[in-house]
Amino acid sequence: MHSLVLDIAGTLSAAANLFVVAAGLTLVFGAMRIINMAHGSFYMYGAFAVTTVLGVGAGWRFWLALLAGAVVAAVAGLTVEVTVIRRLYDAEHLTQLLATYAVLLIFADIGQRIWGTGYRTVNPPPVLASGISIAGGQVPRYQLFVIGVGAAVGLALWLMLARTRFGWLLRAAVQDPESVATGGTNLAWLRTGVFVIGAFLAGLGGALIAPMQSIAPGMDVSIIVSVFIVVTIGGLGSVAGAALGALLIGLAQTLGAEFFASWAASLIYLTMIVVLAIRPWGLLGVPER
Amino acid sequence: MLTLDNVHAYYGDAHILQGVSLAVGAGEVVALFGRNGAGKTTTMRTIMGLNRAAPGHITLDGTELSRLPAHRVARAGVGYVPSGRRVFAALTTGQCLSLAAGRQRGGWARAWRQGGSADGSPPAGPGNPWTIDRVHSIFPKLVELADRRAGLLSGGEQQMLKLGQALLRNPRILLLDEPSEGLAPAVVAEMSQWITTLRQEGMSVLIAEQNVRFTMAVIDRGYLLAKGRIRFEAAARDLAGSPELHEHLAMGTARTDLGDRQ
Ligand SMILES: Nc1ncnc2c1ncn2[C@@H]1O[C@H](COP(=O)(O)OP(=O)(O)OP(=O)(O)O)[C@@H](O)[C@H]1O
Ligand SMILES: [Mg+2]
Repeated sequence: MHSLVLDIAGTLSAAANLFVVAAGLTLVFGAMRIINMAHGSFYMYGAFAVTTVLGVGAGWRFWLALLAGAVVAAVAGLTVEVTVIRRLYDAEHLTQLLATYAVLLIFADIGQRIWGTGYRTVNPPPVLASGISIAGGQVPRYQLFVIGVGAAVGLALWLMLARTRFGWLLRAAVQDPESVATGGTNLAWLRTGVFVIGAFLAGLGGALIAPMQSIAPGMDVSIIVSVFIVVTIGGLGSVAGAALGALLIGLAQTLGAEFFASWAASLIYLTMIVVLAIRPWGLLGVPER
Repeated sequence: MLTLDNVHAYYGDAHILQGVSLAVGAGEVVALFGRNGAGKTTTMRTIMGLNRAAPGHITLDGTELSRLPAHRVARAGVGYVPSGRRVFAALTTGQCLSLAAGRQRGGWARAWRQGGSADGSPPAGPGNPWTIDRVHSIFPKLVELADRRAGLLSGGEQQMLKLGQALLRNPRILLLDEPSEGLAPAVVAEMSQWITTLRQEGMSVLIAEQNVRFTMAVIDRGYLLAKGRIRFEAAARDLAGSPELHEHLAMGTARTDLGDRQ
């Protein structure tokens, strides 16, 4: 029984973290039809930025570090959008993939110059360091915090898309960018805005994961693989789909680690294959026009 | 007010507009006639900055528009109502109007703010400022449709919505691309009514049409566009009997006659 509660908390927190990152990716894809490999870089920079701000200390600086991680990624996103992505909107998907992959490689190099090639670890803030006993299990408070952030991000995105003019404008621009422009909206800045929000979420995801795993070069590529799977399962462009996909992948990770340790990675791909075989456009996706 | 001077436009290698010159004066309602493929839509898209005018000059009250991106042309005061069912299908009618009204307040960043009163740029066009209430007063139907998705509206309702959206941006001139296309005769009659109302308020309008009968009733002047060139220009009363116009728009008038009989 102990382990069941722990498994649930572990699954949900992993899923929440994946969701935060995947939501950014799927938002950008949904609004701009851009598949952004450099999303992984933003995530990694978010995590490394946490280690820089935190240094050896902990305490109140953790909250600053969390914010810094997201902001560093958002600034990186702004730079990338204005210099590279802006020129790619009308390009083929393959060109977009190659170009954003190049950006990922460049960021990986710069990252190694700044943070070195070794791995780093940070501790959760003291208030969240201990466990809390739920149904007899000691669930790490930090995991609950991550779950809470994931839920908050989901709610905020839903409110933004459903209730704000900015969200309506985004949805309008997905369908008919030209009409949004002839309505007087500067599409370039609208797209920049979305891209920066996407990068912010990637950085937030990276910052959130920092106290839960070691931070090392290469996490940019590994996360991008995971969140690609999440968003394809959920349906590219669907935020709710990203949440579903993240839950499935989180579950597959936990089950894999628990029961088939040597097959853990395969279970994730297997999940994707099964879902796509049944629903080629993802669980909540719609076929491309 | 709006002037096109020797405007050319290309799609790839295809030379579509071959030196279009026309003008719409303040408070004037002007038709741009032409059969399918004549270049009416291309002319409007070029004015809006969706196609590049290369070469050529497009000015609005002396301001050069021809090098501006679409959103700047819109902000300069050109309202564009494209042809067909071009509405934001996933949004509700109310959201569409609210978005258009939000534009009155400046950049999209301010779109974060919901509700509130219009505190932004001063009204630009004649009969301004347009508010959602005022749009509702000329299109009462839009009130009951507020919560319906725009994609589900009928053709006529979508025309109302598109016109309402354009008006909420307080334009100085409206470009209407085939406003009567696909509408039942009764709705076409309403459309003339709306345009007449706008005209009485002093709005400048450029209408691209094939439906001569509908258009004649509302315009001051008309141009005939054929193969990317202006063939001739005449006042409404001279156009009405023009054999050249009717010959050119044989299909267009035939369609009207059919429509009338239904
Ligand atoms: N995107 C495009 N690419 C290539 N050619 C185009 C494109 N859009 C229009 N054309 C061509 O340009 C010409 C003018 O088209 P345009 O749409 O301006 O005509 P129109 O007068 O609006 O016709 P209609 O009454 O059918 O709407 C046509 O020959 C058309 O085939
Ligand atoms: Mg046309």
